[in-house]
Amino acid sequence: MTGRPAVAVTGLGVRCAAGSTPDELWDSLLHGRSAVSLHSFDAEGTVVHPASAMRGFDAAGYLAPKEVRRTDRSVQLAVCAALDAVTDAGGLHVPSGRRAVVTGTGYGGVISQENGIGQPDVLYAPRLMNNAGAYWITAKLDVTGPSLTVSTACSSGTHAVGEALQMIRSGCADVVVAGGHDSPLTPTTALAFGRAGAMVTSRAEPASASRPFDAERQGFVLAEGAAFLVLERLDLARARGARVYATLTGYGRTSDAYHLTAPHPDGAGARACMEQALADAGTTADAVTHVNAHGTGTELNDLAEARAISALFGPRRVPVTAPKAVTGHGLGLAGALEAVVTALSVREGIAPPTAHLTRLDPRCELDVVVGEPRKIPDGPVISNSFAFGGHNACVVLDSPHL
Amino acid sequence: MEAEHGDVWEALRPLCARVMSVPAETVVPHARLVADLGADSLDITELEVASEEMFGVSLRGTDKSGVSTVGDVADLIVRLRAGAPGLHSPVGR
Repeated sequence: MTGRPAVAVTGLGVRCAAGSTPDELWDSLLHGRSAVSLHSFDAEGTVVHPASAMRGFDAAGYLAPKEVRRTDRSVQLAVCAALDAVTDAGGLHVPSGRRAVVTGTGYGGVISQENGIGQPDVLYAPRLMNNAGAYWITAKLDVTGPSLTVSTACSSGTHAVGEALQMIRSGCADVVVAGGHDSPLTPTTALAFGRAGAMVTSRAEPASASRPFDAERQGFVLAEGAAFLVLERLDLARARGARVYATLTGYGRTSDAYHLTAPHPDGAGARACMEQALADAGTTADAVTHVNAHGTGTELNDLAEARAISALFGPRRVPVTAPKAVTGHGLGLAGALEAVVTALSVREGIAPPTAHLTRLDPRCELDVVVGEPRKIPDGPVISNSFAFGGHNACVVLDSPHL
Repeated sequence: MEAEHGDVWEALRPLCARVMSVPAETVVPHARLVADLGADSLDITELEVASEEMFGVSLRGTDKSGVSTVGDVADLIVRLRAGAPGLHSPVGR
């Protein structure tokens, strides 16, 4: 073993259509209660309804009215989820200079960006910049240690969690508030993903439109939201008697260097990323009890990811779940949301089912959890993110052994 | 001048309320921008830009050393619209 410090997950916060608290999110997943709705467009191509929007969201109590005016919706969601995570952790108990923030976002303030094109106001730049969320969280939590934003499309949230782990290991922070956020439900963004053929644009039953690993899948469904975790040096968390959901033990990142938007079809980059994360965690594939898949519901992702998983773990050997069937795909949010789900899986000893999976694509040699939640033993659980751009990121969480 | 002042005030009041995110009823002539309405540098910049569009005058580059209250802003706008000489500082930004 190395002398680097172990890291605990001590706080969780989420804001998305599938839940405005971790408990609500978990309940949605256990019951396969879909938060997914489809974008609908009128004849002119204008969005009539955005997909998987978080309805009734209000940042009051977290941001003052002036602060709401100065922030994109994406950042408002982020601040709420981050502050919730810190409250859940029982507060931050290290000096300001030992606190850090890492945010991940794919699209930054894209709503503000589109609204201001050709007519920017004074607040245009600080509203749309990708690092706006990181600023607001540092300001709200008096974080004067490192803060940064990573932007690796759909892997942003996982990279944020992994980079936070590295900060604590390297000794530059003791507590990191890390997560991802995106609010990309604009007409232009939706049309772009629809025209590219990556997003489902029509389906008879919109609630079950997101169907990872299902033979009838048609693509992903956009979602919005934010998810944050409080990561803390395990010894400090123990010393203050904090509840520890899980330990964060491994981080892997690789690049496909293959195609702008498609994963390498044999999943080589994805497999290497999982292997790296497991090695970093000091464990092996045969010890892994559960895989929280990237599972977007695009044919290209599902096949490549399934190949990578079955090559590494053996065909149908490890229970796999794909939360995006319930949550939709929140881009930079996704990896952080799934890290939250993975932490809950470790704590509860349960792999939630993958909703809407009626007929597994026979090309995916996976043991996908369907129907009922499945009990999993203590042990390492891996969460995957594989992004446009070929950016792969995986994190490993484990049971907090005493 | 009085009628002019009234027009400016009618438009300036909701503008200040919006920019500073405060209730319109708190925007009274003697309300101080910073001390009472909580304005910071971003608010002041936003107010300057909006004033250019709304009143057709440039507050940027003018001497605002005597400007403290909303009423002072209204007075400055009225004077600028009347083309009062000596109000424009030689240094723009």
